[in-house]
Amino acid sequence: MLEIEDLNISIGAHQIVSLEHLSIPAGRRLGLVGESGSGKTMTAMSIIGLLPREAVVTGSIKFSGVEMVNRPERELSNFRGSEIGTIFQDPLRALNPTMRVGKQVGEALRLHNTVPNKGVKQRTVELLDQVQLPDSAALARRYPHQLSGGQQQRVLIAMAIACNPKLLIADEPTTALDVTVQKEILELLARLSAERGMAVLFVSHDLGVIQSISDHVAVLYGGSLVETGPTDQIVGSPRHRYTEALINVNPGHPEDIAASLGKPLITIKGSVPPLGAFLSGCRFRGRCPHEVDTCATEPPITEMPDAHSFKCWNPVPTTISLAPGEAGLAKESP
Amino acid sequence: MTDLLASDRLFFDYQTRSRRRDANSDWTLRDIAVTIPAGSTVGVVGESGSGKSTLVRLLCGLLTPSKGEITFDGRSVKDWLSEDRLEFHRRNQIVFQSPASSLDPRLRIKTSLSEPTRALERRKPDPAELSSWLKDVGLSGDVLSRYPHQLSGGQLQRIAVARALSVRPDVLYADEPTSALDVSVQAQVLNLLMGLKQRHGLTLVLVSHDLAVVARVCEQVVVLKDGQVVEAGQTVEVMTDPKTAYTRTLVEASRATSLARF
Amino acid sequence: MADTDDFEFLEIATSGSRRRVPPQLVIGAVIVSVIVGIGMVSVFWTPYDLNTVDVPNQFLRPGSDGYLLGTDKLGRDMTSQIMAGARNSLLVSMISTVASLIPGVLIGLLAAGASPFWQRFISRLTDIGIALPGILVALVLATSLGPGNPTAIIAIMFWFIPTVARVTMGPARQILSRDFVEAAQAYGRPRRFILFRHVLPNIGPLIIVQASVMFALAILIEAALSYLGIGAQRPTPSWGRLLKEAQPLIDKAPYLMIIPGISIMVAVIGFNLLGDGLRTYLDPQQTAKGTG
Repeated sequence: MLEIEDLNISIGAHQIVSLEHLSIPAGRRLGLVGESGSGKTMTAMSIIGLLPREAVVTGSIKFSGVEMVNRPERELSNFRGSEIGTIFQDPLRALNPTMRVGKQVGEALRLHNTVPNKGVKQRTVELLDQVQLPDSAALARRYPHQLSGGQQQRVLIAMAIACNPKLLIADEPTTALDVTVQKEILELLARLSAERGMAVLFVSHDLGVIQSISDHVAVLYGGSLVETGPTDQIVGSPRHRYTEALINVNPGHPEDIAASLGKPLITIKGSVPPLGAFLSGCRFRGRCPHEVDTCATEPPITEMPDAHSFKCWNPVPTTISLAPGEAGLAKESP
Repeated sequence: MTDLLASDRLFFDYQTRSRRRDANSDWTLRDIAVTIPAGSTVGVVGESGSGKSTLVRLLCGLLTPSKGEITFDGRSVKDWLSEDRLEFHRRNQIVFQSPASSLDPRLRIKTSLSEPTRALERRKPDPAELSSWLKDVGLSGDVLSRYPHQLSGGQLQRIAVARALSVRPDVLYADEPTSALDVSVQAQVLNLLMGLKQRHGLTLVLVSHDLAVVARVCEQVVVLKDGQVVEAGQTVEVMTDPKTAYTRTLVEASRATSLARF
Repeated sequence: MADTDDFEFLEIATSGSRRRVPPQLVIGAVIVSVIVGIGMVSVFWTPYDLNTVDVPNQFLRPGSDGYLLGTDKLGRDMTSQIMAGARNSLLVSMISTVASLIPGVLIGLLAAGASPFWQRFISRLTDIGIALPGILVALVLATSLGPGNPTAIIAIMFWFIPTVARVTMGPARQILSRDFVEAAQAYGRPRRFILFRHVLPNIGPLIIVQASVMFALAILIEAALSYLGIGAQRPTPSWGRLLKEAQPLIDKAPYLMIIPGISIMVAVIGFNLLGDGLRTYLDPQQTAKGTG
């Protein structure tokens, strides 16, 4: 349903994102994970054409067969809100502080003429019920600042799904929330996606959050897609050295607290280089503990079963028997 | 272990007492009793609005309690602040959440780093000292002449830690020190804090909303909710066998949203 | 909250690059330096003596031989009057701006660091100050002090101090809420010290911008007060006074009004452009957006 091919985003002389291929089938949930500066927000925003003016986009983003790249703003804005819904990290900034929340949800409905004017009020209350806001009729008359962070995010979700979008872009929607609220919002998004057959592009720096919501994961590093595949494979048997490192640095929920207490965490050496300071070849070069000579040249994409692919010269060895074309590339590490 | 810090029946509210109508409702912190043994690592956990940041600010003397007493090293904090203010501050240092705002953007790192020594010991640290403090947190002397905006979040947080430790405190409070950082940087900063605690025999009080972090770093944990302590004890016990429904919800939510390895 | 804003990444990458100088800043700086130059030259030299009456040469049009901007009804040279007027305008504006900035910033800064009670008290006080019509204050002052430059300066100070205090207080409070202020308290710095060591330098650019805008306003107010007869009196040269004197002759010699009018306008525009340019130049966001 969403197909991205050879997407390149650059600002000035700096190339910010360079993706070979990424797709989300209808009704599936893809998690886009990366650290700050990985280009994950840029990638998500390029789908709906919300990039800084200076950004130059080439390649192809097809949404239900329609090309989105370099489409005029007027046509893109038709997609935003109706076919593609969006939610952001800071709900309070995304809501109009002077407008009652019910009215704002109603605006979203009216803007794309999905329901007759008479039905707007009733539909608004239905939507607020669907995002599990308590006492929705009374809550619709409140102003954003009178709601808690979790409730604000639910209102934003209600606005985003008002026109039954086929795709929901969620950019760090739970990062600012408490862990208990975070869990509820993630469950809500998963349920809405399943009920409505709505695809979700979930952007986050937190692999734990991604794991709890997505079927597929795409790992970005330095604007390059280093690994993509089904969530349990990515987390359970990552192949790219960066994915492996990203999993290792995450403290995760310790099963044996007494044993892990006070033990140092595994780290990645160095830090993400600033834009334009990446070495040629593999983006992770210079920080990777498993570097080989060939890493100075761009690694090829290795395809594996189950739509799992990665770009690494010296991948994490796997116990699964290797696919034919891959045998030469996977060296056994010491 | 002796108790370095203790509080008993501690109440706090940001409103002054004359403006309060009801004596018992809506305290920011209500009836808090905590003890922190010397050399321990204590996690303060709670959701936003639970009063966890307020509690550490009371403990390190940035705020004054409305009611109740805090004792530091056998002496009331009130007395410390009136009789020996600088020595109390020297022994209690704090690191904040946002690395971008913990350092004055108009001052070079060199100047920011010298400030505690100048304020508390009335002397200017020499360049060798500055470099050794930076080395302690894994940075080189190159950053001394830089301004904060030229450095990354992780580097800034290391400098904030170096600044706090420059006066050799007994207790280091860290208020969400990693929640503004990327997960890869978070691991580095947590390791740094654990290492420094070992090397300098610090007492570490870590405020965090992230139970996964607290479980890795802290021997003891205090769970706050709406300004009250709901549970406190050894981290292992609190997390494996929570005594209250609230702590159980917190642990389960953390488990659900944390990375689970196979 | 994790910082997930990918744009921040760009900022880090470009922070080493040069700041772009906005064109307003250049134009404003040029205009202001020309006016300041003319004012300074007028101290030592003007084409003709300011007060020498030369009736045969009265009402010469601008561009007449030897009189670039013409002469007035008594044959006094307009070029010399305008040059000396620039000096007076600048002097009055500078003294009143500086004399307002120092107490205004001090009040605003101390109020920001004070208890909520004092903050409210100072806020109400500045509200009253801002609400008082400045011209009225000036008229009352003129009746007790008599007209002249000192009256104009004191009137402008009454006008500006509350505004400066107000403009300082808000941003100062914002800086006070930053973590480095709490850190400074945690290493034992007293609040007063923090105000001058950390808060003042951080709101400095804002005050500089405010000062240049105030300067432009002060030129306008000085001219208005002199026009009303409260400010500079003959023989003190002043653009506003020239305007007033030319008013009865508006049909006979319109250039006598137009020339000082344009002078005031150019000076005000110059300082406003300078202020606007400085605002853009000193804005930390500019480095992020400036180069791509």
